[in-house]
Amino acid sequence: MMSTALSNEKPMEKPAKTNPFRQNFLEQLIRNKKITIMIFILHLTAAPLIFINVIANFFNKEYAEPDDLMIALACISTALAALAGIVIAINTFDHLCKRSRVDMCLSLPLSTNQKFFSDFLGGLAAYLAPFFAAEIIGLLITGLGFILCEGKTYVVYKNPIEFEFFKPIMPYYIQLIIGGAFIMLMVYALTVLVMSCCGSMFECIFYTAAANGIIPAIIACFTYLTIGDIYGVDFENSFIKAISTTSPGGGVFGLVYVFNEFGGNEATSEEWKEFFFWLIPLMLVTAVMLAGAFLLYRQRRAEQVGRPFAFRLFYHIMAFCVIFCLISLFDGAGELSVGAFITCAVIYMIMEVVANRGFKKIWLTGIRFVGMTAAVLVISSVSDATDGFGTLYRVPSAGNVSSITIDSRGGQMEDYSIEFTVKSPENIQRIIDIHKGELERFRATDNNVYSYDYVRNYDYNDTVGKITCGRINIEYHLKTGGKLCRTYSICLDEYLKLLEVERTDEYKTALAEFLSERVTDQFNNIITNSRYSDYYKFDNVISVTKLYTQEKEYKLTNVPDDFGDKLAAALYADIMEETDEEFYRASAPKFHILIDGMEVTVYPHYKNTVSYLASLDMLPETEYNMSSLKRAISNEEFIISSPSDRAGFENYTGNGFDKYSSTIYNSRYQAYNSQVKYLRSYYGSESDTIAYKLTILLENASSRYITEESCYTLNVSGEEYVIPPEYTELAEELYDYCYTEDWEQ
Amino acid sequence: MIELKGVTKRFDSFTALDNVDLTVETGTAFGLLGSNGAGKSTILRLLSGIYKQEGGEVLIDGSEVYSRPEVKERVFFINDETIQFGGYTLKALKNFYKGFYPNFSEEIFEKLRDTIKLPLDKKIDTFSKGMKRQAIVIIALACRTDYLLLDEAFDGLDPTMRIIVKRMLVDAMLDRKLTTVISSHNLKEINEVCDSVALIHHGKVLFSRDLDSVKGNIHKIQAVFPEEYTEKEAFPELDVLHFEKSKSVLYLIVRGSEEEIREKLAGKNPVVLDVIPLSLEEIFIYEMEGMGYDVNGIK
Repeated sequence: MMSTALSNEKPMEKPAKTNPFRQNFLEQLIRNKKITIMIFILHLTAAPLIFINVIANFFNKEYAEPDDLMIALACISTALAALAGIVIAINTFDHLCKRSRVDMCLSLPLSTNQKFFSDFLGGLAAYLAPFFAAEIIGLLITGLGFILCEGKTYVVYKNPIEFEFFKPIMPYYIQLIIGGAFIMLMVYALTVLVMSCCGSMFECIFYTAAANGIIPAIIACFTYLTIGDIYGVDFENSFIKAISTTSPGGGVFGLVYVFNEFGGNEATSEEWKEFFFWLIPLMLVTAVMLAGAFLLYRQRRAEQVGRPFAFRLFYHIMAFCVIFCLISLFDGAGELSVGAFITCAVIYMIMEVVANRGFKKIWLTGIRFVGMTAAVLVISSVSDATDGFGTLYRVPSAGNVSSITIDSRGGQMEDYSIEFTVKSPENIQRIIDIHKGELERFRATDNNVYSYDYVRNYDYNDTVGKITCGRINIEYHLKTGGKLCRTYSICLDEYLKLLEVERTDEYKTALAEFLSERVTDQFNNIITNSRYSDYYKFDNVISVTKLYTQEKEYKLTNVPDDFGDKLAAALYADIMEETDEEFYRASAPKFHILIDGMEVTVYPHYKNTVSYLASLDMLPETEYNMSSLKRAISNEEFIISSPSDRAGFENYTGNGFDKYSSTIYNSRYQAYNSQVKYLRSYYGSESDTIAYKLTILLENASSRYITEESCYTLNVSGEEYVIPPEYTELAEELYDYCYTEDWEQ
Repeated sequence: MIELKGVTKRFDSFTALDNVDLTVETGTAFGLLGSNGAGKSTILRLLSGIYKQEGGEVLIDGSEVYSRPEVKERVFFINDETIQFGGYTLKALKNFYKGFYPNFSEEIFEKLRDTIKLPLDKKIDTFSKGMKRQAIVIIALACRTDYLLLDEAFDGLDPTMRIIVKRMLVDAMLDRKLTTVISSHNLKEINEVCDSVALIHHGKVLFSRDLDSVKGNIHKIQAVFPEEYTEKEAFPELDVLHFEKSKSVLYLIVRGSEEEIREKLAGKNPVVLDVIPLSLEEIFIYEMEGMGYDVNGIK
């Protein structure tokens, strides 16, 4: 046979140095280049375009915010770009599901590890490089915005506002880039994980989409099924934490949630901490997905390509999750019936037919369905029997707690809605004791009283038959970095322990700092705004008001420039100097200072504040406005309750009704036999008498009062006051003037 | 040298290869023959590291192949499909493989491409079936691997191109001791190119030896005997694969050398005795018939 030119070739060329890993990595970049370009364009129409829009609006219009259309476009573009990761992963690892690619890819001189990582990294580079490139452009545009706009004023409704482009945006933009990159990595890793388990293109695409939905769904359903109705457990909190780190969609939710918690303000170290508390678990879950994908990939064989599933167990897990979610949903809706099980069976049958590519071994399908359903019911039963696998009675030990954040509507916190974090061991122990006390009470009482039907954590005005003194949200910050959240409506004993916390220097200092900062900031805002706004310059922005007296109002020009600082200092001193007796017997005739709508409560024993206001002649009127008082009586703003009105509560609380505080909600939610007694308005001299007697009670009733004696209570427009025993006779007189009204039972 | 020692390969419950032993000497062309689904492509995929065997060893120069890049870079596998190359141009495909095979020769590639006049910058899926085959063959040869595995390599090639490709293979074998394993149903080409062949059926090797000894070991007998014989059992001394009678003439397909056959039949005093060599195709057909794989046996 005649030879071709090959036999005449020159001496053999030296072998070239090849790097198969790099070659395969580059190959994936080349194969995905069209999608890469598309992703780059999509990302450019997100943040970078938003920044350009803001700068343009700054120069052209009267505001420096992005247009709604741009925001919508940015959201859609970002979502499409993120989803493109699924396309890239499928394109890169198509030798796992396309027979035509198997021979070409697996015959290459690459080890399994080299093949996996060069493919993974090549596809990932194709996916993330355009994202980073677009965001670098975004950063350059923010720099441009800084140069062109920073510090310049623009006008909003005739008010000039200094433009801050760089400082408020940058921390969030950085978080968006970092968080966004890891969410995209999770999209990619999850897709590769699913592809490692599937052998056909249909299953790869379908189960990738399914996994993105099933992961948050199974978490939500499992959380709801096990702890959704557990007393004290904040289902949403538990759910949010788990959801936000275990799936790409959940990750987006988590990132938005972090922004929402702190957004609008300059990101502080606390916010960065929250950001990393979200990010690190997300990274760990992504690492687990990647590790799983790699381990399964190593087990993959070429002959598995073309089958629906390379690992059948994956399908069974997915199917079980679907059944679990369906049964949980039916159970949650109270519709767990034969019809529900039939529906689940039909859906499972459809999944089986598709997975088996036909009706094969129907009897096995039936057995598996029965098994899965039984497993779900067992999990549910065990959860019920063990109170959410021990969740109900879980109380961390003090040694494991670094701090506790409480948000209570009791005590001084009635006046201000603040979250307060305790760090001292003593206060930590007190909160733990409150927690344990509430659980012991729950464990000891008959479930007919403390049944889930009656106890709702989200309902501030809690249950029939349970005397509550306030609601407390407890957030334990554990030394391991985790959090444990509980919400309870506490009874008197726990409430008294909570008041002990409020009497500690730790709390007093925090409250004093909180209040004085708020006052100072609010007053300084008025001064700043008065430079631009006629309202703040000429209108009454400060007022002093006491119920049913003449309100006093003041313009900014009526108060000294250091009003805010001095008032803040006075309040700080008053809170720190407040004695226990003053605290526990906080008198009713408090008054309020309103600073541009922000309300500060001043009690009569706040000597420094009262003295300062007196020096400015800013104390409230002492004389009650009888007309307004009589009008309030006729509007049924006053309810007087006698000790006998609460008869029967002993049976519910189990410890007698000889101790109570002013915050007992006994007016609206009395035992079934009681009636509400409104102070009735009369005409003529009787009306004057009633009003006069009422003023004595208003002057002497206490908004916070702990006593062993039976007392009358006065409810003023929903705020409860205890009438001290020395005024019982007066209260009885007024009580006789009340008329009863039956409440709906 | 390629060695398969006791290799077993299963796909679920189906045994594709059952305890297969094969040896392919370096620098030779080895043909794999067999019925459809016999296991030929499975052997090639085991040798190229695509499949992993369940039992036995698949060795190239004493080393296992699977997941061993240093072995795999000495092997190039051309399968019977070309769809996977469709998205590439010839240039892109060349650059792709060049990065994996250190001995790739641009010069050889250009010479071969020039010989068959394939365009460099057109997408391969615009090529005809034969051109696609040519493209991958020249890339394979340009990679200058020590081992070349071809699955239906000549499928789709016109007669002229078949000759050219065969020449290319032979040149490479002569030039650098390329070892070739070819699986094909085109027995004519196997006959022309290969030194040795193996016949595979239902995952088992029926025989594996050099072509000459294959041909020398099976013959067609045309004979007339004084006595009338109506069935092959009348010749217990012979390994008869096929028996046919037409009037007084017997047509037998018999395993064994010519001398052996003549010696054994001498006892029956044949009136006429012709020993005719068989073509490889005929050998294949009659060997398969002996295994029950024939036109009448397949329903």
